[in-house]
Amino acid sequence: MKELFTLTVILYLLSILAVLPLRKNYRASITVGHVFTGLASISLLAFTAMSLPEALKGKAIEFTYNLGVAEIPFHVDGLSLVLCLVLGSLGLATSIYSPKYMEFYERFGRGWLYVVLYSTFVLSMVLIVTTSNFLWFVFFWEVMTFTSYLLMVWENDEEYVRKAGWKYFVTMHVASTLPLIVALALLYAKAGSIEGLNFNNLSKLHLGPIYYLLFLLGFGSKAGVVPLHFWLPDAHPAAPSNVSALLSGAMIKVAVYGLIRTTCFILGLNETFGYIVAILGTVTLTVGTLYALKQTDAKRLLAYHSVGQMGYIWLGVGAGIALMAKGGSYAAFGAIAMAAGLYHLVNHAIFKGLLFLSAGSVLYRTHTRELNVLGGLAKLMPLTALFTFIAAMSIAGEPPFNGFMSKWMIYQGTFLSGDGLLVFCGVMALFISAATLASFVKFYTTAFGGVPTRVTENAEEVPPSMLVGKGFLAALCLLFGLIPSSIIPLLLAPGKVLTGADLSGWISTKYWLVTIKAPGMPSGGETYFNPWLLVGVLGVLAGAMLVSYPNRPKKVVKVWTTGEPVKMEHYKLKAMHYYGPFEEYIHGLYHSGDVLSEWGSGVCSAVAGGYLALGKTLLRWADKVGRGITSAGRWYVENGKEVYLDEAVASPFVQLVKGLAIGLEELSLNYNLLLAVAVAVLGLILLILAGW
Amino acid sequence: MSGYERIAFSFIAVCLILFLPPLLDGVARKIKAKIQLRQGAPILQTYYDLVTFLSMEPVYPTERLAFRLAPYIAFASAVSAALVLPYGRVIPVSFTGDIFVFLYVLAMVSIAYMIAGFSLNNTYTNTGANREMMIMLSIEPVLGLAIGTLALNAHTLRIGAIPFAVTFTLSVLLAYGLLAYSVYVEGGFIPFDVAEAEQEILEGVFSEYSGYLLGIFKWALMIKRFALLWLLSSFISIPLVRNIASGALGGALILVIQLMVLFLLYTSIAVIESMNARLRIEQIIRQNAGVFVCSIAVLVLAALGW
Repeated sequence: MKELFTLTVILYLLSILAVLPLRKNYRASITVGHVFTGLASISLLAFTAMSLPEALKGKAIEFTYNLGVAEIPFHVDGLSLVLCLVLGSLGLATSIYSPKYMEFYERFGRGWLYVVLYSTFVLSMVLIVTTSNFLWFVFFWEVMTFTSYLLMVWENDEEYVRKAGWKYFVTMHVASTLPLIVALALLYAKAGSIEGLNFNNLSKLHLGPIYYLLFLLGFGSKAGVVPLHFWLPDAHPAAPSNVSALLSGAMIKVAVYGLIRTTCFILGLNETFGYIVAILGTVTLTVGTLYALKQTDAKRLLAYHSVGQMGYIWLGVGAGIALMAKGGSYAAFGAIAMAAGLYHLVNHAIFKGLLFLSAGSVLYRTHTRELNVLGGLAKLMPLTALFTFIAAMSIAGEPPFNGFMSKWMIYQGTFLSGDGLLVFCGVMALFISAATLASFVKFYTTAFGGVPTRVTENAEEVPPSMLVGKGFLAALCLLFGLIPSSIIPLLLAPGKVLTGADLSGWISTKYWLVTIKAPGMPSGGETYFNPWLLVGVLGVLAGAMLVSYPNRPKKVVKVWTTGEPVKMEHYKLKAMHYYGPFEEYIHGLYHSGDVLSEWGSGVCSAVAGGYLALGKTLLRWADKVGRGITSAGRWYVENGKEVYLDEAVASPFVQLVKGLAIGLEELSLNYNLLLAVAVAVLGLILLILAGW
Repeated sequence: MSGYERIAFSFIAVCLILFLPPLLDGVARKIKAKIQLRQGAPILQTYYDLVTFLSMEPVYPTERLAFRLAPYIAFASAVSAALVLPYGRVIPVSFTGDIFVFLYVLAMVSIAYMIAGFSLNNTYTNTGANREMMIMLSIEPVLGLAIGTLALNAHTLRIGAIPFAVTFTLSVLLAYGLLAYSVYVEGGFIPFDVAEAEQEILEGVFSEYSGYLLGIFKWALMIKRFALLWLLSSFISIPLVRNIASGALGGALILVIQLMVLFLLYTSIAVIESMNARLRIEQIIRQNAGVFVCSIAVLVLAALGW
């Protein structure tokens, strides 16, 4: 098993080596590079599958890479495998999709550099979620931040891309890397050695609440949690779509991994902290999604939804932490709530990746991502339309797609928690689910519905390799929706390890049937869902109606315009007009969201400003000291004897030593005097000691 | 529970789901006519309409699959949702027992309606779809609070178990009120029928449907109303007799009371409808938001154990 992991790492490194000789050939370098990254992803998926039985038993795979100068320890348990699954699936899909898609960016050249960055970026994430040493964790974290920044500003001739990239770079270093480095320094001071920073050793230390705060800040800002989300809707759309898919699909999930790994496994479960995470999640899902509702730029809309869906994940995880910390019969139920959060993590990675790849396909063919001017693509790009529809219904949480299963489990985890606050969080999640639906009905019907517009009339289906990449993700949307038992046991593993609870009485997954029991439930009150039976019933009913009332348009007439001679392009609602009255009504919420965002931005720039001011002061002092030394030197050169600077520095000491030596030499000739001086010194010392 | 009871009740349930909604609609039309001092159409008029629609070939404004398949999906979703509700003591097809799955499957009727409406270049269908979505957005939090209060009280989300387990406190009574309000709004009864406003936007999405596609779609909407009201009527009637109803006879008793409550609900709705005029969409949003904010207090009461 360890070998497969090593193979993954080697394949990623090989992809970097393989493109170096191909620096002159843009297309070849990208194709060759992605062949290797694709193979690496397959190897990572194989590793995940092979390690599964161990993780389900609650065990972990441990091994160490000895690099000669340093050792990197690894600890791969259920939580790591969830992220490996995400990185493997998304990595595979983008590797298949990217070679054709990157032709769109040929004018920037440097294909080899793109592959180097891509591989380093994905590899750093793989290493983050598997390493078990905090120093290495922070190191890979910084590698991830830096490479993602460089990939984000790939389209660097655009002003807004450079601006968004810079915003990302500054925010990440101030709000994410800095708290982690502070935590690292504090932990190192406690642990005292690099081995002491192994997660296993850290968990034995007694660590105070300041660490919860540092980790919340560090991982919250990376995950785009309100009010530290302001960078995300600018940053994610700026990157090429395949990279956006990885940013929104994988990178912000790594932050959730970091949060769970540090606060649950190292610091230990804490009820208050769980509530804080759940409430932050609820605020995030509300603000993020309601902002997404009014976007008309396809990728910006998706980025705001990443904020919103991240809120769902935090809600699930937070409720899980709070309930597990409560203990007793709630411990097992908390493990289910956390599994729900992780389920949404996996699902969001898949459907959001697919949505970004779809937006990229539309961009690839129509050169625009403005929903107001798109239209009618379902006819021209039927498969892309189908995949987008699947992803849209998944994120909107419609049965039987994967998004529904995870949202349903989050509802169970909150509504059945027996806690008014968590129930209210669940109510907001239910409401926002409708807002997500609204947003994706808009996304799908403006781009793909209606008749083609002037912008889209010449569009055609994207090349097969891009379709295969998207089809793979669409298939996963269906798999995790229809066969929940394929993933739920893995998702329950972290909670099981954390609580040591026996979950068999609380949740059961039989093939495709999921049954959940909550504390205090009356007999016969278990909730269950069988997606296959639903699909069967729907299929039989719709099929029966289709047979009785066959649907074959012989003649198609124009839509009815009540007799007005109106042009078709003027006869459809534009994206910006969707849900107008509702958006007007919640204007106040938008306003307070703006205030929150400004506040977050303000805090961040205040910290950045403070840092800059400190740096400036230090620089000024250094400058003064430097000037002082220089002027002293100049004075010496002008007024002193003609000596060299080193001589000037050293000569006082030399003179002193010389004088001492002469004195001692004189002394050494006169033993009596020497003895007398020695006794006097001894007496002095004794006197001083006595006085003390 | 014996197999015969299952089969008999399931058969009755399927008949009720498919054939009762047009009758309820006819009754409501008659009541409204009487209140407004009109003669009104015969009680069976909705059946006649449906049969006429179903016998006619549709005219297609587009070849889009989204538009062509929407009525079938709406119909299948409405019937599937209605099939997981309790009829007596029997749930005909229990692919779930969970109230959220029921609501989400039922929401697929609205989704089919919206996708169809938005997939055309027609401002009337677009507007209908747009309004349907906004109504859903504004009522979802109220519905959530009602369910949340019931879940806090009954510790379960199973439709069949909530009415048996619930204890009637102040918050639960208020939650019933919220549930009834949500059902009323979701059902698109006057004054909340802006999405299919006939005089104003030519019945919204239905302006482009015709023939049996229109018939199937209208039938689906009636079944959706039936499912919503049947949920409410089950929540009201089962607690009334839960201590005395046992065995097949008890099941029959529950079913009879469910039916009586359903007719009572439908009659009161017809009365309310006949005395109200359609609201504008922004009025609906404002009103529902107000209800939501006030009803947060209900959840607080429930959390305090009242």
